[in-house]
Amino acid sequence: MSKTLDSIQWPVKQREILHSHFDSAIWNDFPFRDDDIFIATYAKSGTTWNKFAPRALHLSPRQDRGVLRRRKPKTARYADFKNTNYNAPRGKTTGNRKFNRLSPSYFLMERPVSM
Amino acid sequence: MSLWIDFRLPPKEVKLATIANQQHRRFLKTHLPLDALVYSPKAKYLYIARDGRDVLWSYYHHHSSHTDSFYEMLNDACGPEVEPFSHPQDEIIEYYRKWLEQNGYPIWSFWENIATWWGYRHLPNLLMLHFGALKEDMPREIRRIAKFLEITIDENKWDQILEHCSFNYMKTHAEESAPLGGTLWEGGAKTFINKGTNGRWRDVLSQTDSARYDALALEKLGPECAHWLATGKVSI
Repeated sequence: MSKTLDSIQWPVKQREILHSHFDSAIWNDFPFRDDDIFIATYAKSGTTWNKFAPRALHLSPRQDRGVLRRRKPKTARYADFKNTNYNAPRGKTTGNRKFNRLSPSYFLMERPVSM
Repeated sequence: MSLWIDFRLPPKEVKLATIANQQHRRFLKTHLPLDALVYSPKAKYLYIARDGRDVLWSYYHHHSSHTDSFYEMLNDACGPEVEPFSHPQDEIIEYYRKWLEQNGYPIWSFWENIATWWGYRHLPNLLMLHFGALKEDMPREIRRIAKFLEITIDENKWDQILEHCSFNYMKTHAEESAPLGGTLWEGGAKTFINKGTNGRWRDVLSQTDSARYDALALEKLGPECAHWLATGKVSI
């Protein structure tokens, strides 16, 4: 796609939307990475499936695993959210933590943040 | 976790810090129309659409299942300029009619979401997907996504990939996908991932109510986009 990049009319943000569910202003400070994947929908339109599909595909590619491996954190990669107390202060979350190198979800999991 | 960027929870500072700290390739979601976000020419975008009647049926279940603490947390995060969000006030038919006639009430506009993304469907880093096409032929759609994301599929793991994309797998692993592990819904994360089925409205909506949707789709989206939304197919 590089040959036409300069001639493309890229979307430009036109407005802010304030709603009980969202505030579009967060995009103004968003720190993009070149390999980010964004999943966009209205709502209840297949968002979850669209998250699982790229995750599952990352079971495959050696080249992408290389990228992921370089970024692999030294800390735990997969937390079991099931029994986690989300109201606990950051760093003091409770509940069982499970680690599974075979799970594709380890690419995506993070520790839940306190709210 | 694939975070919903625009969502008011957790607070912006916490969310941006969390996203910045993610060490893996990031998968992030948005529910905004395209003209309300900053667009990266280098990132990849997957847009997925679904018949609005199926969306509404799914969303009604979703909305009806929120816990009281969800409303409290969400409304606390909003300023006074925003209408507070509350439990659904109507049965599903009336809920559907208001959603249709009041531009997506009580959430946000359906038509402008579809139309703004459709308008840029030719961008090289945007892939348009359809829920119906996914239901029809999931392997085909997964290969489309892999090609778009420039991921080489390891054919030895194809069956495992398909299993990890199946509805049953997603339902079983719902805690990994639902915001805050599904704690915002009665019944937890498995409520967040409900049925994944289409057409539940067919036996409930009158022909008049259903035809009103079709007419608005044509009016708001134009024939080509309305056809794609209805069928998942691009050509009329």
